[in-house]
Amino acid sequence: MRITAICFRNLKHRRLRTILCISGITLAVTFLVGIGAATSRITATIEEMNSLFEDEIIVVSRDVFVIQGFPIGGVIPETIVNELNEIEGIEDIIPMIFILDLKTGEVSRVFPANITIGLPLNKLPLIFSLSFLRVEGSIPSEPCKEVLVGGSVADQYDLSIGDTIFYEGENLTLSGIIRGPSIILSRSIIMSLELAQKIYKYNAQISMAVVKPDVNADVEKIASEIESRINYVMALTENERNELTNPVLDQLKIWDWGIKLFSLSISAMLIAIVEIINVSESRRDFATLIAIGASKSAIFKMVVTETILIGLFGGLLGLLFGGIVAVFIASSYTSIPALLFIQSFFDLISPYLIVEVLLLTLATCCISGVIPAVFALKINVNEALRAEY
Amino acid sequence: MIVETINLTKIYRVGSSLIAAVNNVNLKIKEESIILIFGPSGAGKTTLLNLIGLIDEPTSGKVFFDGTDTSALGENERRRIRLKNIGFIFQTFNLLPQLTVIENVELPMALAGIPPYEQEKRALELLEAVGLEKRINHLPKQLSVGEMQRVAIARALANAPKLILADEPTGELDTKTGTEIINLLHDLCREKGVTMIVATHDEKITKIADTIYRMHDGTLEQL
Repeated sequence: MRITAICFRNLKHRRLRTILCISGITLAVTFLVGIGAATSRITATIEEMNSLFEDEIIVVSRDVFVIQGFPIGGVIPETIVNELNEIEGIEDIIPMIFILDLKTGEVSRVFPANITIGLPLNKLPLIFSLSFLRVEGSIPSEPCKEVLVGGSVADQYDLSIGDTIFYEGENLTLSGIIRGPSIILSRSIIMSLELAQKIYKYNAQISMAVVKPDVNADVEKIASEIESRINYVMALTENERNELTNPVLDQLKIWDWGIKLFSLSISAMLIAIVEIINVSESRRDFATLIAIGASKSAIFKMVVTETILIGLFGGLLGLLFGGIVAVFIASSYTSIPALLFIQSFFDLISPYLIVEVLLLTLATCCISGVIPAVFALKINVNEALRAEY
Repeated sequence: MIVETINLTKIYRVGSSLIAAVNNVNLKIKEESIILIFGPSGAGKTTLLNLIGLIDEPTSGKVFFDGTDTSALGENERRRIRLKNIGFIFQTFNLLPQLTVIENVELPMALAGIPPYEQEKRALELLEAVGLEKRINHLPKQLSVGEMQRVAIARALANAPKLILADEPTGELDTKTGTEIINLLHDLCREKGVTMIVATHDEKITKIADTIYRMHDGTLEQL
């Protein structure tokens, strides 16, 4: 006979209340995981955007909206590369086309389903460190006919190396598949700059240029020089890009934590109220336990263990249902099949999120058990033993 | 002496008046004796048992348990004496409804930190002694009142106490069952050498006692 066994019996004894409490926690955790997965996917994507261009300057059209390293719309002439080449302290310049497949007007989506990246293919390793990525097949050798795709896109459309893809009116051959932890690259279609310009009708235009400064160059100075020489562009350093997006990320994180704390506070109150009712109804049982010699810590443990068990069951069920909800949220906002998200479940619901939500739930349930436990310890044993129930 | 009280007094405040539930009680109880405290409801029997059982604290006076002055002890030490040396039997049995018969008997042993296999072995022996070996997995609600009191007796003996305090042990039972329970308690206490103090208003119990006291308005007199 152990204290946990007594707690299990108590919970079983008050089956309906226990089920309602567990359901309440399950709902809260489902909500947290669903929202948390969506938020962490957005923030991870945004954070990853900048990590692709660490220490580099992004040159984009002046009035364009930029999320970290990537501009949404806006074009600059390809000849800007020549103008940039005249500036001192620049090691390399990579002209790029970057297109988010948001398909606004058709279906409103928060997450882009696909990302098209066009760049000189020989400079691909300069932009995307291939050390943490695995390329199945090869980088396109025929720039106007071959493309690389991300693993998630390949899995969604069941593509293999050598397959012919009919894309935006062109017959293209798949030369390789990029696999790795990058959310952006897993949904990317990477092609040569010429091909991207042809498909998207960017005649001698690009959407951005990535400027790689010399090792010891002053990045801020180079960016200022670019903006002073070429008045229709913005030259954003890593710090400036972070300054643009960090407030958004901070807001997202604050809302995420706000929602978590709000949901868990309501759950904590629900559990505390139900547990206080349970303790009140079991006054004589607690009085008997104290009379026969149960210690204060045993009584405390008994009550808190009950609430922790509720939290554990609710938390695990919530993670399960939350995972399902997160899959459907991600699927409905991207038109990527749910099955694809299920296959890469731990990319969507990270182990960190699982541990964080479980620990938060257990901590909440533990705290919510404290008031009822103190209430149980304050029972007047003499009165409770004499009372007639 | 297993129990000795000196000028034991417990005063309750009820509204603006003070009521002495136990008034200047001096009592000496020898090891292995069976004591009966006889008196009407409201005489102060339960309060006296709670004071001797260290559940309640006196307004004045002292309780010595096995030679130890309990007024000098902290709550945790008093609890340890209750757990290891005193067994309680209540009028309304006070079994935990969600636990089976054997689990109710194992409970004091679990609280005392006895290993589970030892708990089970000892609980089975006690349940056999009270004649409930075939009902070990039943819940209290599946038992008759007589059987419930037998479980309470087994639970009271679980940690091999030196003293058993029985508060109206036959109060909820019919005459026949009451007699059976009292005889069982008497036999077990004699067999195990346990001191027992029984508070009752049932005159039929008097035959098992070594010493009988009458309690009236908080005062105690030996008959």
